[in-house]
Amino acid sequence: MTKTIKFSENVYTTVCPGCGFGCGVYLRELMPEGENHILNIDYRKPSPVNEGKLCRFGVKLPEYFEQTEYNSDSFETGLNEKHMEAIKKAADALKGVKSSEIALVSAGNTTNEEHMAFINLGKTLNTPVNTCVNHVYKDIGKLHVYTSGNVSYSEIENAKKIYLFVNPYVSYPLLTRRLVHAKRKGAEIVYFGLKKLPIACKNVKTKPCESLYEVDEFKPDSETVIISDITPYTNSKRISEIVEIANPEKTEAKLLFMKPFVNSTGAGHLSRHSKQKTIQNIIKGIEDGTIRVLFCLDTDIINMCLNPEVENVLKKVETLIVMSSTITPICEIADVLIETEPFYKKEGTVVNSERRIIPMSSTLDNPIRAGFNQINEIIKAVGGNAKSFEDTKEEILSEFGIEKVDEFKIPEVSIKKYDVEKVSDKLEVCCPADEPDTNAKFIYELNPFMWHNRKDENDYIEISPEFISEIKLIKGHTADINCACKSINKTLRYKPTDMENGYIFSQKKQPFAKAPVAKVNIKPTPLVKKQ
Amino acid sequence: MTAEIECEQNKRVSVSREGWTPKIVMFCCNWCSYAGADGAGVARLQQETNVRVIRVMCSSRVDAVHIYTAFLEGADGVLITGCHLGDCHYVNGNEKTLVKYKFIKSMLDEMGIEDERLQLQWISASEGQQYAAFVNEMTEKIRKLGPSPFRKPEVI
Amino acid sequence: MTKVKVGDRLIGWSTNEEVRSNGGSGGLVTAVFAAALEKGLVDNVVVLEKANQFEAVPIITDSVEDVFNSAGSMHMLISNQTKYLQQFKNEASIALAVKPCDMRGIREQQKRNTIDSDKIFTVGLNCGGTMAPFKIREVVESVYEVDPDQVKGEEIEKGKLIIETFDGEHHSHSIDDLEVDDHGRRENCRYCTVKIATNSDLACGNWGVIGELSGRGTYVEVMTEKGAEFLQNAIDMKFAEVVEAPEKGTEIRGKVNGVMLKMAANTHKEVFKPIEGDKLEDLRKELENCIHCGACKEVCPVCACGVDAKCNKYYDPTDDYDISLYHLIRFLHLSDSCIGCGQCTDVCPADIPLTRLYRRFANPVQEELDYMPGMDDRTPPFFLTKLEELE
Repeated sequence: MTKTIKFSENVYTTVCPGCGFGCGVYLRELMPEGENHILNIDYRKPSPVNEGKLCRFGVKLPEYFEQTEYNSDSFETGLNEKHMEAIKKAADALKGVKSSEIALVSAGNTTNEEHMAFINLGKTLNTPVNTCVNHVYKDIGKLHVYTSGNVSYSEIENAKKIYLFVNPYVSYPLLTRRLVHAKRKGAEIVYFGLKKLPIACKNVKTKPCESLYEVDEFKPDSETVIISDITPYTNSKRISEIVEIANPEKTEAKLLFMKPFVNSTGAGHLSRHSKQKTIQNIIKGIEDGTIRVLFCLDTDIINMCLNPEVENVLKKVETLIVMSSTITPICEIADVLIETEPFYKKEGTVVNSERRIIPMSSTLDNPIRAGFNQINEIIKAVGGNAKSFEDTKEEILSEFGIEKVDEFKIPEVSIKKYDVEKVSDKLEVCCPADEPDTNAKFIYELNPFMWHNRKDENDYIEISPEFISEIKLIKGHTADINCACKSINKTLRYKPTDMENGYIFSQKKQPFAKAPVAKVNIKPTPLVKKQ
Repeated sequence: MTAEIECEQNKRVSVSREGWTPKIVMFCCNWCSYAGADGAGVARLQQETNVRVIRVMCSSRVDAVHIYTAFLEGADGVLITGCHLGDCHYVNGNEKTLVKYKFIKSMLDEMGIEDERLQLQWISASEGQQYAAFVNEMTEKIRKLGPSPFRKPEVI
Repeated sequence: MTKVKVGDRLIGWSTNEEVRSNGGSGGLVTAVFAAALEKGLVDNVVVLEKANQFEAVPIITDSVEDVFNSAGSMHMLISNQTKYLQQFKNEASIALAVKPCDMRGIREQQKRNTIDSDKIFTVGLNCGGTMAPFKIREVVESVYEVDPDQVKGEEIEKGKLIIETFDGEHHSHSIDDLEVDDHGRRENCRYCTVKIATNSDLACGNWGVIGELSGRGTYVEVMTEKGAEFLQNAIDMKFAEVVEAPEKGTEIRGKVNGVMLKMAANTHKEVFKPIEGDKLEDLRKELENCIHCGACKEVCPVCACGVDAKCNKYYDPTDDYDISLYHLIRFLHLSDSCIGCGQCTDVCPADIPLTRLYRRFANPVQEELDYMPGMDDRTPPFFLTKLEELE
C-alpha cells in the first residue's frame, strides 16, 4: 500500500449565492493534513427549492469560492489584529462625518443576520441601509406588496397560464424545470420578449421599452402567473405596467418577481421601513460631494453598474469602506477593507425570491460568525448597542412573523407600502438616442456570471440568422461591434439564434454597451489577407 | 389546445428536396484509399461530384466528433475508407476504426439516421475502379434518401 | 469456527447489543467497519451524518465512536459514492458502504485508473431501489397524510413503503401504487438489474435472514479475499459474530432477488418501448431545454475524463446544432459504460430524463456484446483494438 494522507472534512449546508433563486447546495471542504483545503459541491437533493439541481454557475461554485475567498482559516480563531485595525479605521471614518453624509449599501449578498446587524449600525448612525436592488424606482415602494414574493415555485407548476418576461434558460435557469412541469400539466406559456424560447408555446414580440398597454396578448386573469424580475437595470415602467394591468387585487393574477442576489428579498424586507436612496442617487451624491463615506456590505457597485466610469466616481468619495467575503473589483479601490468569511461558511438565513426563509448550517462545532461580529464591533466603536446573534435571529423571525425557521413553509407576511426617494424612471442610454450610424440594438441578458463578474464561455453575441445574412456575416468568422459614438470597438463571435431581427443579445458585460439597451453598429470583421 | 400551439413552433424545419443535391463528406486514408482515389482520377473513371474528400493519415484518425460535426453541419452522408484489414500502415489502425464504426453505427441507428448515410469501405491503392464504383453507388443511394434530417434550411 | 473464506455465505451481527438492536439488521456492517478502523486496516470510514429523517450527508471519520453512532442506511439517500471517493485522489484508505450502482461506478473507475482498489474496502448493501428525498417528503404529506416532521424512520418490506412516526404508528402504502403516480422509486431503480452488490468485497443485506435472527442479523456473502480478511478481523476482535447461513435463507435471498429482477424486466420493457415516428425529433425535443450546465458529466460515476474531456472541449456555445456535440459525444462514450445509476437525471436542472436517454443508446450495445459495465472486469469494449478480444 502506498503512503496515505490524513483527511478531515466539513460539510456546509448552504445556498448558492449566484442569484435570488435560493438553490440549496452542500459544500464539502476536504482538508488534507498540511495542505490547502479542497472544495467540492454536493447536490442537496432534499432541498425544497431545487431538489439538488444546480445551473452552470452552481456547478462551478468550488471554483468561484476558491478564486474569490480570503484565507478563511484566519476566521476560525476569531478576529485578529488586522481585522480590529480595519474596524477601528471604519468606525473613525463613520464618526467623523454627519449622518446625512454617510451611505450604507447592502444589496443582499449576505445573510439576514449580517444585514440586520448592518441596519442596527444604520440606526446608531441615524442613516438607512440602502438595498439598491429593491429600491430602484420611485414607485417601487407602492409596488413592494407585489414584488417581494407572492408565488411559490411549486405554484408555477400548477398554473394554467404563465406569462414570462425573463429568459429562464439564461437568467434563472432553475425556473426552467418548473416551467417544464407546468407545460406537461397543460399550462400555456407565453414569452414576452424578442427571442423564441423552446419552452414557450407562444412568443410575443415585445421590445424592452414597449408599453404593455399596446401588447394585446398581455391579458392576465385569475389563472395567470406572471414571472418577471427586478434588477438595477429593470425598466421601472414595465414593472408598474405589469402590476397595473394584472391588478392582482381584482384579477387575482399571481406575480413572481425574481431578484438578482441571494438575499435581495430578505434585505428588501428587513430595510423596508427606511427612506432609502437609489443607486443612481448615491452615485450622484458622491459626485456632488454630499456623500462623504460610503460603506458597502458585500455589494460591489462596480460589478453592479454597466458603466465602468462608476469606478472613477467611487474613487472620489472621501472614505470608501468595503466589507466583503469575496475579492471583487471594489475591494481594490477601498480605503478600508474588512475581510469576512466566505458565504458558504456563514451561519444564518437567507430569503429567496419566493420569500422562503432558508437556513444555512455546517457540521462545524463552532460556527464562524466573523462578518456578524465585525459589524457588531463597528457598532460598539461608534457608540451603539450591539445585539447578540441570538437576539438578532429573534428580531428577524419577528420581522417575518414566524416562530421558527422552516424552509418547507413559506411564511405569510403582511407587507405595507412605503416611500422611496424620487428618481427619474428613464432607462440609462449610452449614447444620444437617434444616432444615424447604428444598425442594431444591443440588449443584456442578465445571469449569475454577469452579476458576479465571473468568467464563463459566454463572450459571444446572439443574433438572428436573417440578420446574419442581411449584414453579411461569414460563418465561422467574427463580427465587429461599435458603440454609437464609435469610441469603443470589440470583435466577438456570434451565435445564430431564433430571435427578432435587428437585435443583439449578450450574456456578458461588454465595453461598448453602458446601458441595459444600447444602440450599436455591427459589421463583419474585415478579413485580413495573408501576406 | 396547448399541444396544437406547440406544433406551430419549435419544430425541426426539414429541407425540401427541390433544388437539393447531396453533399457527402468522405474520409480517405493516406496510404490506400487516397491513392485509390488518385488512381480512379488518373484512369479517368466517371464519378459523381458530390463527395468532398478529406485526407487523413489513417482511417482510425476519424473520430466520432468528425462524423457528428459533418452531419450537424449539413452533410447528407459520410463515407470512411481505409486499407484492407491486415494491410494497415500502422499495424492495426483500421481494426480500431472498425470498433469505433460499430459503436457510432449503433448510435446513429438509435437516432433514426438511415443506414446508408454512414458507410465504411476498405479500398486499397490499386482499387481505383472500386473507389469510383463506391462513390457512385453511395451518391445514388443518398440521392434516393433525400436531405439529411440534421440539415438546416440555411445550409446551402 | 474455521476461517472466513471467499464464497462463504454467513449470517452475522454486532456483539455490541446497542448497535445490534439499533442497526435494524444486526449491525454487522458497523461492526466490520469499527473493527477495521480499530485494527488500522483502513484510516477512514465514511459515515452518514443525519440532519433529519429526510436528509443525511456522507462524511469521513477516523473515530470508532462515530462509526458506532452513524445513521445506517436510508432509502432516500442517493449519494454518489464513486464521485465522493474520487475527491481523495487515492491519498486516503477508506472503508465505505455502497449500493450496487455505486460499486459498479467504482469498478469502472478502477479500470480507468482513477480509484485504487488497494485503498478502499467496500461493503455492498442490497438495494431494491432508492427514492428522491424531496419527493418522499411530498408523498408523506399528500399520500400518507403524515406531518413530515413527525417521521421517525422508513423501511421497505414486502413491496410496501412503511413510514414510522414518533407516536409509534406505522403507515404503509404499496410501492407499486405509489409508482403509478411516479411517487415511488426513481425510474432507473425500477428497471435496475443489480440488486445484490456481488461486485463489492462483502455483499450484505437482510434478505435471507429468517427465524429468530430476523431483524437481528445480516446475511453476508464474502466476495473477495479482502472481504474475508475484514470479516475475519471483526470476528477476531470480538466485534462481530457469524454463523453459517441456513440453506433456506440462501434460497429466500435468491427468491427475493428473482422477484425483483422480474419486476425490473417488466419495467424495462415499458420504459424502452420502441419509439414510434421520428426518433431524431423525439431526441431533439427531449434535449431542447438543456442549458449546458455540465452537471450530468460532473456526477457521472463512469466518466473519468476530467475538465479537458472531449465532450466539453468540442462543445461550442455558439453552435446552433439541433443536438449539441456535448450530448452526442456523451451518448457515444456511455454506450458501452452507462451503469444506469440515475445520477444524471437527479441533477439535471431542466429535468431531462437523461438516464433513459443514455440507456436508450447503451441497451443495444451492451446486450449485443454481453457486457455489463461495473459487473465484470473486462476492458470497456470501446477501448479495445478488436471486439473479439472481449471474449
